Amino acid sequence: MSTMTPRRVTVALTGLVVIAVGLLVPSRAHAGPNEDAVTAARALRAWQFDKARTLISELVAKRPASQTSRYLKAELNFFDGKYEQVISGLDGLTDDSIDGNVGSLRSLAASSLQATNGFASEVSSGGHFKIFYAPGKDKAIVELTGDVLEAAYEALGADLGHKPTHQIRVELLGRPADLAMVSTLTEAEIETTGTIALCKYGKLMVVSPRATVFGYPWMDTLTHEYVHYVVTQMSHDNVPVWLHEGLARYLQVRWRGKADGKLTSFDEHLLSQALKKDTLISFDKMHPSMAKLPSQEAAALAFAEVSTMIGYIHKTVGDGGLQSAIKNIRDGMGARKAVAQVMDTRWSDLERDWIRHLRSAKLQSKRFAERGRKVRFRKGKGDADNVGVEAIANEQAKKFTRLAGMLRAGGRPAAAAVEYEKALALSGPDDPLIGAKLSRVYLELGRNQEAIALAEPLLTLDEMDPVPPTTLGAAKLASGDHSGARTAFELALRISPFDVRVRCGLAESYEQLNHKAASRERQACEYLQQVR
Amino acid sequence: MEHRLAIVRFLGAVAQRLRRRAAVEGLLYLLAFLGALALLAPLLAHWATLDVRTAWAVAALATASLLVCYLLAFLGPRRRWRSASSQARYVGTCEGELRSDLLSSVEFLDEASSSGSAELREALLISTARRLEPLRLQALVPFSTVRRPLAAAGTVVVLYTAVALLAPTALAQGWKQLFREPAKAPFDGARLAKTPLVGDVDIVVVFPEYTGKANLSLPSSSGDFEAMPGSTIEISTQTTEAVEKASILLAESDELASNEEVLLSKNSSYESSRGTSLTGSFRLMKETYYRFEISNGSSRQVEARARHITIAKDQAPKIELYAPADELDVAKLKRIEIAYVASDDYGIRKIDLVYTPQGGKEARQPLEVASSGTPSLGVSGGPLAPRNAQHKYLWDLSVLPLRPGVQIEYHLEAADNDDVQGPNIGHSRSYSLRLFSPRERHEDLIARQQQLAQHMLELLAERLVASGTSVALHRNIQRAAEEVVVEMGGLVAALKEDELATKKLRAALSEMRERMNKRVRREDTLLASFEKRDDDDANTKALQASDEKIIAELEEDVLLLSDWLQRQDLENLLGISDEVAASRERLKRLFEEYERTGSQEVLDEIDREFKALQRKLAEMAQKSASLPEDVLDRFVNSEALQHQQEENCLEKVRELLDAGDAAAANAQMEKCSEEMDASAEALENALSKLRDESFSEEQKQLEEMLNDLADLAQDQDDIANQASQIYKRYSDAVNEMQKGKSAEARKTAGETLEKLRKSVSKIPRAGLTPFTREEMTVLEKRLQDTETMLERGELAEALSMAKHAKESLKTIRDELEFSLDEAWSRKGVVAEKAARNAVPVAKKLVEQLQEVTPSPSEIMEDEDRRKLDKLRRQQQASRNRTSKVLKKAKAQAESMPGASGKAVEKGLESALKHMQQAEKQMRSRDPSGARQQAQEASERLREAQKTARGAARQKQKLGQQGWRDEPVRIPGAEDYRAPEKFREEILDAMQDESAPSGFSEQVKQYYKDIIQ
Repeated sequence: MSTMTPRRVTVALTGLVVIAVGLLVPSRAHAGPNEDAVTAARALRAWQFDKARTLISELVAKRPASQTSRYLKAELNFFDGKYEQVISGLDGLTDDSIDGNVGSLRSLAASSLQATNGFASEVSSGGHFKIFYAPGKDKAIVELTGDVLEAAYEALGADLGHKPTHQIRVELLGRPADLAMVSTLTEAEIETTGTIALCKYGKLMVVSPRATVFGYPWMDTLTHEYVHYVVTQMSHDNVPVWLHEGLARYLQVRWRGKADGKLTSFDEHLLSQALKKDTLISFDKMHPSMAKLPSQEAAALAFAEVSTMIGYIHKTVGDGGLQSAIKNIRDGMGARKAVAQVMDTRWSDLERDWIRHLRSAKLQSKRFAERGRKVRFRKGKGDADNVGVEAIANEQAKKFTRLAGMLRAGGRPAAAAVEYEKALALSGPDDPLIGAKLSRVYLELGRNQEAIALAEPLLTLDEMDPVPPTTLGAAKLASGDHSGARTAFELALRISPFDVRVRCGLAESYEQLNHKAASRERQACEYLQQVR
Repeated sequence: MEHRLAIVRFLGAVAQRLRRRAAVEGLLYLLAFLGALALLAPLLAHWATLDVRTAWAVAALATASLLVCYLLAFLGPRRRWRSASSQARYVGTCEGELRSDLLSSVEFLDEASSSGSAELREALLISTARRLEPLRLQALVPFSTVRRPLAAAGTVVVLYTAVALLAPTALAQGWKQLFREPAKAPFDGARLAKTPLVGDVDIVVVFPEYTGKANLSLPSSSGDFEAMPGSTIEISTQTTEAVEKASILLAESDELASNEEVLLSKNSSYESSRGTSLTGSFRLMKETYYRFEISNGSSRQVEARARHITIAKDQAPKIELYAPADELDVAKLKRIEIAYVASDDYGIRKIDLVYTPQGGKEARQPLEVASSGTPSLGVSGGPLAPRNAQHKYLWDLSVLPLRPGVQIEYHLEAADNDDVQGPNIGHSRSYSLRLFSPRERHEDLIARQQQLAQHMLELLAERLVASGTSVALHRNIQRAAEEVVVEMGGLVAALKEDELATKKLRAALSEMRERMNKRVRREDTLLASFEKRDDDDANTKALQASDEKIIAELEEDVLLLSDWLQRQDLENLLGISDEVAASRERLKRLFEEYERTGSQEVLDEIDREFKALQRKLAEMAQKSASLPEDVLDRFVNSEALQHQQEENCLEKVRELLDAGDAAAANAQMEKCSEEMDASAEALENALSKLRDESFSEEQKQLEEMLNDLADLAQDQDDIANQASQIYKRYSDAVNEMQKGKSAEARKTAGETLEKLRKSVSKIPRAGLTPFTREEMTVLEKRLQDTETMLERGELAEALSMAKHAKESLKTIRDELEFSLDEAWSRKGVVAEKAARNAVPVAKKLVEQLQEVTPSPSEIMEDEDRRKLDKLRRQQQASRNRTSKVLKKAKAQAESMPGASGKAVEKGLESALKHMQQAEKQMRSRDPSGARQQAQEASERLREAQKTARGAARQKQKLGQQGWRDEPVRIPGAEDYRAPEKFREEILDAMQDESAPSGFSEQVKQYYKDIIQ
């Protein structure tokens, strides 16, 4: 299950206000403030912030006391992250004003203010992003966040031909509950769907990896949400969910390299099964949101589908094709027609070709690939050695693994190794979950070569598991292989940036290799050692 | 050369012995001298009243003797026997024949100064040396000369000892006398006047401010009087002749001495040649003697007899503590009522409740001192501390950071307002109480299980690593296993006393213990046999085989205990959640009460309950955070962990309450309650999921049983609905029959209903117990329903409602009667009497309505009779099914989780009774009764569903505490009032309650008697 649920960018509040403001326009009026209000509301909805800003300023100057002007001004402030001003700006307006939107906005602003209360901020190195974060541990990832987003800014600017002109607000939230507070999602929905980030209200909202047990591919997630941002602005928020999510999923790796459309083993398993059983999810069913699909598995399959579709299109028509499709959609063309047009075919043919393409890829369902990957939010402070053990099918192996986890948590790694070995023997030597845990224990026992032998094949099997890259990095570092350690730690950093071993190990590797980011990692290492 | 050396050595040895002898003699003489001095000096001092100056002389003499001794016994001999020639002379003196040769030889020893033949000199030296050889030093320098000084010293020691034994006092006092300062002349030589130097003495005693006492004037006093420490003594008097200077000399005793002088001022206008008027003042702190001193030029006179000021003591406060019992066992969350009465001669400044937990530090809680009303004012107009204090205090044990099971000793301490010598403290008698919280005790046992689990895990770790290794290592592990078996035994025993622990857990641990014990014994035998043989290979193989089995069993046990711990952790969390729910329920009631009354007392109660609720939420947050992450991840969803949000929600309630908006606060509280209910539900689901995973058989049986209950309840609802329809038709028929005729009946019943209302209103709320208070709400609702039905002319319904009202009233009466047996109270008596008086009125109302309401059997149509018969068969079938489920529940009771089996049994049995009643009512053609009984059966079944879920986790019974968390009261304390308050009440009662005609005088007399 992907972490990036298609909480796409339909800004409900602004949508509603467009309708509400539209209703306020008397039929006999030809032009005037109400028309301006509608235009301003539409500009906000399309994230044309400069235009909206100008229009709203004019509106406020003309009719400062008008409910509409005040509401639009408050909404613009909300997009700018000025939550206090939103609340003060709505003073005196009843909650049911502007079709009840005042109440919703006021409530959202209040909860956003509460969730981000006391936040510090830093501007990214390129100046395109302003990152807001809770003082404390999150400081260790602020610079990294900026670096990732700046890299994505450049890469996506080149790919899609659009670079936002104003500074983008990024909020690093400490808990899933905070994401619920700053959005219309409930905490239960976030937990169920694994939603961990949103691009909404003209900002990126990302739950910090420290809120999770093992971490998650947070750097890809940041880029994923930024893709949404760019596409929303480019298309004036007219791109449908499937295309939005397809582009975001396909391009989310652009901060670190080319988009090659490589599937994770879980995605590959889902797609291969769906192709075999002919249970692919239709694009229509993905509307209005991926989160509305019946299960996490269905949503994961949908993500895999749209991602491969975009990969197929991109392979055929390149960046230019994607740009043209988005522009056509912005200009009013239907998404399917626009995509088919750039592919110079009909939609039905395109769909058939894509499925043929998938079949020709000979997707495989590898052993253990069926185990769901999900973001596990940290709920307590207890030991987490046995989190995820329930996925082991063999009951006896599960018991041994559980015992091993208890032994490791109790500071008995040698005994834990014995139990993990027994579990691995029962479950199969290629079990990534048990293998990863055993490799970590080997490392703790100083059996580095055995740790490397176990961890290396597991490196890219599970994008949610930081244990193999962390173990491998530490083992390689201990054996003097700085280059190998760096590669492994960089993989671990993508998932678990608060792990002191990762940051300190990476700092040491970088220092040995004279890497430019050595000082950043050293600082992060020292900082995390202080605040842990 | 050897002969030279021999001579020199010999002479040196002689000189050394001579020096030693002189030293010994000198020391003995010194000892004798000092001894004599030590004996004579104190005796002389004693007899001749010598003082410290003699001591100095003695010391000087002793020092001098030391010096002399040093000179004569050490320095002198050293100088005298320094040269070889002097040594030779001494030897020559003793050995005359040798004298000449020895002296010559000594001269020849110095070769440089010698003349003559060297050979001869050598020959003489050799000869002298040879002649010296036989001489013995002891003979040359005998120590017999020491006898004399020894005898002297001995004599002195004997004498000293004899005097010390015969006249120890004289010797001791002599020594004391030696160190006594030389006596001065009294008052520096002033003349002691045997007659008073002043005339009448006028004294004004200004008492310390804190006493609030007025000044005491003592005109023409002798000068002897009593005053309190801190008083200012103002003295005025006159001398018989003119004086230049006068003063008062203060002393601690009546001896001729003083330690302070107070100069008296002269009043010049009264000064004459015949006398001088004098005034002065001083502050008195302790018992004091004083004399007047007058001076004229160099002549000074002091009164020989001292005047005496005695001290009046400020007494320590007296304080009495009243508590519910000398030794009390209370739940931790409880408050206990204590009352206290304190009094002091001048004022009470502070009263502290002092409590000491067993093995802990003493802590204090200040209590109220000031009485209501205007405080008395002191001399300077400032408020005075009250002399009497009398209060009650509700001691909230929930705020104390104490563990359950701990014994607390407590008493009161009252401090008075003595700011001169520091407060005097009065103590009450001590009481003790023991905190008791089943849940926290249960938690302690969970902690012990966790410790056990840790030990078992360590045992497993040791075995896994040591598998197949040495016998010695296995012996260590086996011994550790023995300790774990003992630990398990202790835990099983402790769990028997834990009402929140399930039998199954005990059984599981007992089995585990037995298993482990067998393993330990088996291994012991095995290891003993290995220890006897030396075959390491064979031992290793045998150990490996044994380890495999032991490890497999141990692994199962570790996992089993871990499962139980996870389950108990969640159950415990739900236990706190139950307490939160009970607390919320109380808060809800309190809000309603506050909205109605606006009472400060209720507001205080809300405040307390709020704090308790917040503490519980914090405890839940802390406990849930410490659960293993895998348990949280798998079973507990975020909805169950919204403690922060809940606390925020409560904070809003608090804000609204502080702003005085009780209604909004109540509404917000409802919102919070909904959130908390959802959390509790989510947590309950988490527990079900966990049980389903680790204890699936139990959970399956529970779920099946709950489904059965739900089906039965549904059946009962259906039956009740059908009965209701039949009843409706009967009711309509009654109404139709009574159309136009019922006005009179309605009027009569209405009047009786009004009377009943009045009777009910006489039941004082304050006399009700929590349970009867709830029942009273039901009664009022029923009376309202009866009235409504009467107004509508629906007599059958009115009769039904009146019957319910009568039953409620009887319940209240019986319950009050019962509670009076348990704890008598004046208001309870009044309430019970009022309820008893109301019952006949309710009966009358029912009878009146029955008279005008034809019975169902009289007017029911055939079709409805058939339907009722059919319904009875349906009810019978439902009862049979219920019996079967009951049988199944009994069979499965032991294998269902917690006490859920028992809870289901109880619910089913209760439902069966109502089903039987329903059948009975159907048989007697009473659709109203049938409907009610069928509904009751349904309610019991649904209740059983609910209680079974709680019982599955041994849920504590918290719901019976009532809407207020009633404190533990002092028995009979509610009748206690301060006398004036009590009188007021009686007088009010005299005015309020009219006596029966002709008895008013007797009643008045009765009240008077009470007051007196």
